[in-house]
Amino acid sequence: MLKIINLRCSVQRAVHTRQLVYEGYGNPPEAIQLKSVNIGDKPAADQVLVKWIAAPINPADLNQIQGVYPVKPTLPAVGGNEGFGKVISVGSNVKSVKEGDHVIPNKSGLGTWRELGLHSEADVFSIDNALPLEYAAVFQVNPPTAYRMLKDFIHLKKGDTVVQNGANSAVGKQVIQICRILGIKSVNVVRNRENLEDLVKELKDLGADDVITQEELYGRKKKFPGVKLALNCVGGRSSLFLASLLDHGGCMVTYGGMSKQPVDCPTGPLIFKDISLRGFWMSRWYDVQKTPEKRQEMYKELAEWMKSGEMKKQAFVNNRLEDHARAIEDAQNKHDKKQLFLLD
Amino acid sequence: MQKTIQSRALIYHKFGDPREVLELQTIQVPAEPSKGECLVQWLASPINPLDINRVQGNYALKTEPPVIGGSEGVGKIIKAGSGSRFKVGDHVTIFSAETPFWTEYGIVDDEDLVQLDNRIPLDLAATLMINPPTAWIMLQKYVKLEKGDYVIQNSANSGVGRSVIELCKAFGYKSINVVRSRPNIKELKTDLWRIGADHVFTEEEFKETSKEFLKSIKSRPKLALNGVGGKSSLQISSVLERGGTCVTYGGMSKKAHEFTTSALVFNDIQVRGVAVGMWARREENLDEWNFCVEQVHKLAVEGKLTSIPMEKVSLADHKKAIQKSMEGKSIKQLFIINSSATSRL
Repeated sequence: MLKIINLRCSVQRAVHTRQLVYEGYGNPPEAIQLKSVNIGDKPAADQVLVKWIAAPINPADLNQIQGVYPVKPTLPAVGGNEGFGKVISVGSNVKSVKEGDHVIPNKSGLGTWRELGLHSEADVFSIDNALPLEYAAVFQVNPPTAYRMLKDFIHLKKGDTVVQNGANSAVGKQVIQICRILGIKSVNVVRNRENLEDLVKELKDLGADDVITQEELYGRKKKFPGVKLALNCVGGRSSLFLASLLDHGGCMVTYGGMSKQPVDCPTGPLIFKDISLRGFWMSRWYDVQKTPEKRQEMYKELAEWMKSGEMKKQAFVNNRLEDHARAIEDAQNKHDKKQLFLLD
Repeated sequence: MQKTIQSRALIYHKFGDPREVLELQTIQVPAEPSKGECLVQWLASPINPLDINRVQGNYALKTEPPVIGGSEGVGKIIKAGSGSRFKVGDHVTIFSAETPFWTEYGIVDDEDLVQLDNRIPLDLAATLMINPPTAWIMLQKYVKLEKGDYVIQNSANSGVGRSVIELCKAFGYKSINVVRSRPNIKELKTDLWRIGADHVFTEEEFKETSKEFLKSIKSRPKLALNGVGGKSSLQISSVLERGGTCVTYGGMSKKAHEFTTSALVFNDIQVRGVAVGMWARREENLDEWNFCVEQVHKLAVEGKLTSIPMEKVSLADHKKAIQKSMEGKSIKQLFIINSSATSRL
């Protein structure tokens, strides 16, 4: 895919590379175009040249192209916020990464749907080179979201219970697995569907203690004991019932709003049981880290769980860049498998 | 035989509709307090929403009937038992929803009594232990506010709402007050400005003008106080500064409290709740609670806290008064339990 063009009278050579670009906000399948560009192959002093290997299509990427996501890169922009690549070369002042390192974006908005990129050192972050592609491509957002929500709001002890809705989401599945690893019970709420038994089995195989439908949750009289934390990515009625399950002093953390309804909470638990409602956004967590230690520590723990197989690989549909229109269309309409660009 | 005095009291013998199950009865109260007790003549006590809930059996703390109603009030020491720190004529109150307030006389443990300065007007004294402390705790315990910082609230004309306005003024905070639209909205706004409100909007006005208004102030509110729920909690919590807190103390709309996903996720707001009765009973809050009561009392003596407008009614008119309280269209009802209290209002 790479064409190297020799330019006379210049030490810097231009490298021909392809990327998925949007010039204005709009419906993602139409707004995104495949463009060929030339970039310099010699990073400046504080730059790194990255050969991108794989990048997913996430809902946030689509929202960003629609112009409705809070992180708004300068247009025209390269799509994609997550993914991983390999460092080809580094500038003379670069210290935090070296040639051959596997890297992910330091934060949202970098543009990962590309073959090659010249990035500032501060825009990439090293990960474990031994992490297989299926983990590395989706390492930045969902596993850390699950990890941080389980660690940062309530001090959970072995045997405590976490309830979550949207348990079938990518984050939801990570939550189930991390809970299992940490010895925390998980009660998982999903929408009713035709193949419910298959889904229940899939989630139980991941380590779910209980899987119930929303209807069962709404009709349920018996309380689950020891619910300290609720994770909500749905909102509306579902959040209302989730909040009602919390023990005294419990916390409901919202990280998404799939129903497009506001987060609902009943009066009783709020004022008599001293529960609290919080929100979590992975991008902001990354933004506020002043030093890399906490992030490295988390990445190390997650990578160990992944390499040992304690956390399962996700299923993907693999795409080439030229298949972008269909891939993005499918990402918008089909939610069973994540769409992934293979860039190498 | 022990000497007793007759006392008329509003009692319910079973949970149910407060208009039906509350009865005015005459009970016998010991006339001589034992050691460590006082005989209190209750002077005035309001009908609070929680009184209605308690009689209905819907309140979190359930006391099995028969129960004498009431949740706060002011009384006068008639006789003090030996060794009491009170003297005859002292004004007192109790912080306890379990206390029988709707009775002419009661025997009370000395240590449960809180002395009130006799200069505090009786209507304010009768409503000093729930609403002003709720406002105080919400303004002091959740967000560190500095002079000039903004606080937004709905239900600004409620008992707690009016306390919030007065405390904001006393502490140097700016209050943004949202109320429901009503026929006499001009008078209401004037009244809230009079007690110290900085800005008053109807829900509709705030919806239309909040964008421009928020640009005109130096920073967005750090604290939102919610006594309503539904769309109203969403409205006031959505304009918070990043990392701000919304504290809920009631759910007048009887709807679930709503908050936008983006306020929680992207604007990092926190949602908390408080019930003063629970808060004050927590061991770790004991010192803070005593300090709160002391401060609220001081502000009442200084005239910085004033009474909300209330309609004075006698115990005999309880059916009408309870009816009005349940409809929620009238001002708060205050039982004048002992007629000698009237002249002190």
